[in-house]
Amino acid sequence: MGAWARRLRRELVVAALMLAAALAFLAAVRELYVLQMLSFVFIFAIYAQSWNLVAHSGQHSLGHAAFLGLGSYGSIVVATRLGVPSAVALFLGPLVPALAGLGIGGLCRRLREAYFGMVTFGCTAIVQVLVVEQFGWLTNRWDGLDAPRLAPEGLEIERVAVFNYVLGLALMVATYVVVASIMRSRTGMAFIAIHDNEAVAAAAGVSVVRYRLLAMTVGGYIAGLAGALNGHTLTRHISPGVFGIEDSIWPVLYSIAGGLGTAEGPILGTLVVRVFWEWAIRRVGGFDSLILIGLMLALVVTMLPRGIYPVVARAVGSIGARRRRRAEARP
Amino acid sequence: MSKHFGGLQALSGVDLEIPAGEIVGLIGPNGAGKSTLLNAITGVHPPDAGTIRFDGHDLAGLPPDRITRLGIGRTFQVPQPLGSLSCLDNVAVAALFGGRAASVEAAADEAHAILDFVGLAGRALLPPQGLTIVDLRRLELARALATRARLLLLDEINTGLTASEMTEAIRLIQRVRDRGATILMVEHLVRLIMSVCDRVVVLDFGSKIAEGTPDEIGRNPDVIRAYLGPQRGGADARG
Repeated sequence: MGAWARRLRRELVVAALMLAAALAFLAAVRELYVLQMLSFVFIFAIYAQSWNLVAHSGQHSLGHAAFLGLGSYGSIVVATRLGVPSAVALFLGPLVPALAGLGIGGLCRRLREAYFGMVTFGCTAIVQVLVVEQFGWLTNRWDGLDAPRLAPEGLEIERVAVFNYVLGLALMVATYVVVASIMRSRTGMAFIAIHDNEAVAAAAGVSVVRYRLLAMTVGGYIAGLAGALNGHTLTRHISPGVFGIEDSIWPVLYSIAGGLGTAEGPILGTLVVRVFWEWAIRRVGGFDSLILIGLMLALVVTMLPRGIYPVVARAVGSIGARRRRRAEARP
Repeated sequence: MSKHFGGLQALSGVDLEIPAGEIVGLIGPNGAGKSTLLNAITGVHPPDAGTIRFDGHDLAGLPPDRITRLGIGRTFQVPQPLGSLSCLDNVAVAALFGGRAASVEAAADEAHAILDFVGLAGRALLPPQGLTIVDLRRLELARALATRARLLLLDEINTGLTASEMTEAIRLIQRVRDRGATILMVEHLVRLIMSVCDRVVVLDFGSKIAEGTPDEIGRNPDVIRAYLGPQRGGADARG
């Protein structure tokens, strides 16, 4: 525990800051719409962190919606058909996409880059068909399922929004700590070695296939957790539309905008892109807002090819360094 | 063992034994099959026929990472550092997985010692992108050493050295052997092969054409012909 906390000192500080900032915001702002939007950001930040972790092992999935959707379905089916409390189903449901991650990862174990992306994309279409056809008796086919809510019964709508906000925040920060500790562990070293060069990783003794599958399994679970949380708190309904291309693209955009390969990037990217998106739709609207969003993403990628987070981290780091210098200068 | 790629017979019936504790040189003209042989031993391109045994283990069909963990380390002919890691972490990965270090911290300590051993201590925290080609080859060697290999396969790690660097390289390789490793080294540099190797194996067109002490190889007419071409072979080849 001591070594773990020492290795993760910086990340634990960041986690505490995120919690403090988000709770302070909650105390100041009680507008329902804003809380809903931020709950959505928290959930999709969990989702983007999953994509980023899998990408950290050199596997850039273009079919991540399979895991998001299976997490939703898994949790809702477990809750409604088995009568398990939603709070428990929330953590059991994602086991389904974890298993799917293992299977899809196994199918793609020799593929890299665009080929890996293509096959994961195709797998999502297959998953959709399986969910609608083969498991139609469980999933109610194209009509989908209503999700029992997580918030206690009898709570008024403002309280439910606060409940969803705090729960989303807690799970997002917990995911961050888990992902960061994976990245800084032995497993993270294996991921990054595989990411950089599989032949060299193998020559260094890394079991390439085993670690790739591990990344897909853990990534499947985390994405599934985001899906389950989304179903029980925000959409309150799941239908096969969740397997569409759009939800596979979002985590890629969020992660790239925020900073690939950093634990913080996907969270920051989700927040910035999503808040900008909401602002553009509300204030500008229509096609003009889509043009603005495209422009914003293009600017981020061309001007900050490593994402927003490294710039923020450097700025914070230089403030810290200046303060230390000033402290040393004092007699 | 034999290996072909499509219609090309890259290795045909090569038989090779590397006794523990020796430094064996593997030479031959370009395209003779030297790198193919290393890739066959390390499981990157397993042979189509024949067997490879190491310390009582049959290596046939084992994936490269298993072979590394059994105790065979390699360098790549074209240095391939892991670009997102520091030099230290490049070596630490190998100590952690190939060398089975107990923890990330233990692997880092070990990597520090190995970087010091190969003369890269001052580069530990730098990214590998800024290294010279000579330093990149040392990093390759450091990574191979960190796997705690008992057999090291060194693929042209000394090409392009100046005379003084060469002297240093020879000393380094001898020190590696003194730590208890057996070495198979592919090299074009005749001076180096002659001064450090206990035995030399010559490949040409995928076949072993000679094997012996450096002195014997230097006098072998087949070897001279392979290097200088048949029309100038035999008695004409004195240069």
